[in-house]
Amino acid sequence: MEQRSTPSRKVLRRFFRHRGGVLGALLMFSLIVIAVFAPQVAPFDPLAVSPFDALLPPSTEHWMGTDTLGRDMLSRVIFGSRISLRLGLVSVSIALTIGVIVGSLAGYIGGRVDDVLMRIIDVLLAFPSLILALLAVFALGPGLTNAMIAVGISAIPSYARVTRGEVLSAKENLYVQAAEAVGAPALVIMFRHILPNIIAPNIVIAALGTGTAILAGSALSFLGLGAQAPTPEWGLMLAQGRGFMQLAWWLSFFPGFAIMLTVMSLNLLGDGLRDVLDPRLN
Amino acid sequence: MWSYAVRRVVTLIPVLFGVSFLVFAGMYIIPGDAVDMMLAETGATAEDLARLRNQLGLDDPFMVQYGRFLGQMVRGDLGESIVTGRDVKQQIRNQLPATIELTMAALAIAFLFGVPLGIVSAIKRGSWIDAVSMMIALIGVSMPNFWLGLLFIMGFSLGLGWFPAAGTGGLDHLVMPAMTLGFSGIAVIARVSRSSLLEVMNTDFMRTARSKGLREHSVVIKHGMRNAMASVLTIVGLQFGALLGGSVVVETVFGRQGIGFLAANAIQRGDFTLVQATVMLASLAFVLVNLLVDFSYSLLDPRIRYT
Repeated sequence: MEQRSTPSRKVLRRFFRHRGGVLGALLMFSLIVIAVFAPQVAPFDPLAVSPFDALLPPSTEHWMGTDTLGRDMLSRVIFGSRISLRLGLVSVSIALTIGVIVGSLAGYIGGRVDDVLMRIIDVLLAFPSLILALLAVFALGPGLTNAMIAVGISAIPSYARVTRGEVLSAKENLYVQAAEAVGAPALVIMFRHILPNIIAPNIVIAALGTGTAILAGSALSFLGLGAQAPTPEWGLMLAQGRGFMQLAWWLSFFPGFAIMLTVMSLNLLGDGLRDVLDPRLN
Repeated sequence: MWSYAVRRVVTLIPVLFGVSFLVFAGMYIIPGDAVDMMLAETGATAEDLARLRNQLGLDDPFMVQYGRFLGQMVRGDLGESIVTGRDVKQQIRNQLPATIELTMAALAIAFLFGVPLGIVSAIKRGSWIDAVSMMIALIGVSMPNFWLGLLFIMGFSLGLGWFPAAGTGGLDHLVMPAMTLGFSGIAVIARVSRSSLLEVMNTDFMRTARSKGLREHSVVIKHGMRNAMASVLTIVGLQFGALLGGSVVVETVFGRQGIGFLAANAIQRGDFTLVQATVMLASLAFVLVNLLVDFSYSLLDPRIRYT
C-alpha cells in the first residue's frame, strides 16, 4: 500500500537529501550526546588540579594535554560543550521569544503599536550586535548568565523583523480574512492561523543564530566578561592559554577548534534547513 | 534624490536619540555609580561620597541627568575618564586612527578576496572550485576571530617571525590584525556575491550580452556583477558593524591601541564615561556607513530611483 506523503514527511525527505544539512545534524547530534554524557565521556574531572601534571603536551594519557594547573584539557573541552550549547540555546530562546512577540504584535496590530515597536527595533539595529552585547553585559555585570542575556538582547531585532514581515504577509491570506469575518478572537487567529506561517523562517534563523550566539558568548568570555574561572568555557580557556602560546600551543588550539566545529555544524544544519524550509531566505 | 536624502537623514535623528537614551540608561541601571567607582579604593567617608555625588549632579532625576548627557554629547564634550581622569575626547582622538586603519584594511581584504571568490564559485557552480570556495566561506563564518588571531600569532609571529605579535605601528603591525578581522568578511561577501550572481546569471540581459558575442568574463563582470552589486553592498554595510564589534576582540588579541582596545579596557575597569563615548561612536559610525550604502545604490544601478 502506498504511504500518503504529508508535508512534514516531504520536508524530511528533502532534508535527508541535503548532504551539508545531514552532516551538520549528525555533528550537532554527536555534540549534544557528548554534552549530555560529559561526566561519563570525560576521562578526568575538569576541575581537578594536579600541579605536578601542569602543561603536559598531548599524549596517550592526556589527548589534548594539560593546562597550567595540570587539569586535563580534553575533559575541560568536553565539559565546555555543555556551557557553549547552553549559552547558544538560552540566548537564542531569549531573542526568539521576545522577537516573535514584538514582531507579531507589530505586524498584527499595526498602526501606532507597529510604529513604536519598530522604532525601538531600529534603535537596537543601530548598534553593531557585539557592541550592543558589550553594552548589555557592562550594564548587567560580568558572568555567564548575564552574557547569555546580553547576547540574547543583541539578537532580538532579526527575529522581530522577520516575524513582522511574515505576519504582515500571512494577514493577507484568505483563510485569515475568513476567520476574521466569522468573528474569531484575535488570539485564536494569531495562534491557529498566523503562527504556523512564522515558524519555518524562525527555525532557520534560530539554527544559524545559535552558532552566532556561541561565537559572541565565547568572545565575551575571552574578554573576561562572560564565564569566570574555573568554569571550563571555551572562550575563557582560550584567553587563559594566550600567555603560553610559545610554551603550550594546545591550550589555545583545542578550545578554539571546538568552537569552530560547533559553529560550523550549526551553520551546515541552518543552511540545510533554510534550503528545505524557506529557500527565499537564501 | 535630494528629498530622499533629506528624509533619510531626518529619520536618523530619532534613532540617534534612541541610541543615546539606551547608552545612558545602560549606565544608569548599573548598581552603584561613577562616584563609587572613583572613590572605591580611597577609603572615602559617606559624606565625601555624598558631596561628590551632589557636585556631579548624580542626585538629579533621571531625565535631568539624561538631558545633561545629551547636551554634552551634542557639544562634543565627552567628559573625563572616571578611572584615569584623562580627557575622553583626547583619548579617542589618539586611538581612532589605529581603528580606522584596521577596519578599512579588513573591509578591503574582505571585499577584494570575497567578491572574486564568489564570482569564481558562481561561474564554476557545482565544480570542485565552487566546493573549495564555499568550504573556505563556511570556515570563515564559523571561526572565532580571537582564535584565528592567536593561530596567526603562533604561526607567522612566534613560528616564522614574519610579523610582530603585538603593538601598533607600520604596515607590518597591520597585516595580521587586518587578515584576522577581514577573514569572516571574506566568507560572508563570497557567499552573498555567489548567490546574487547566480540569481542574475540566467536573466534576459545576460543572455542578450552573451548573444552579442561578448566574452563570458566580460558578461559576468560588466553585466552580472554590476547587477548583483546592490546585495553585496548591503552586506558590506552590515559587515562594517561586525568589523566594529570584531575590532574590540582583535585589538585585544594583538594589543593594538585602537578604540576597540580602549572600549574593552573601559568595560573591564567599569569606566562609565569611556564606555558611553566609545559605544556612541561605534553606533554613529555604523549608522552613517549604512546611510552611505543606501545612497550609493542608485550609482550602481540606474534603475533605482529615489523619490
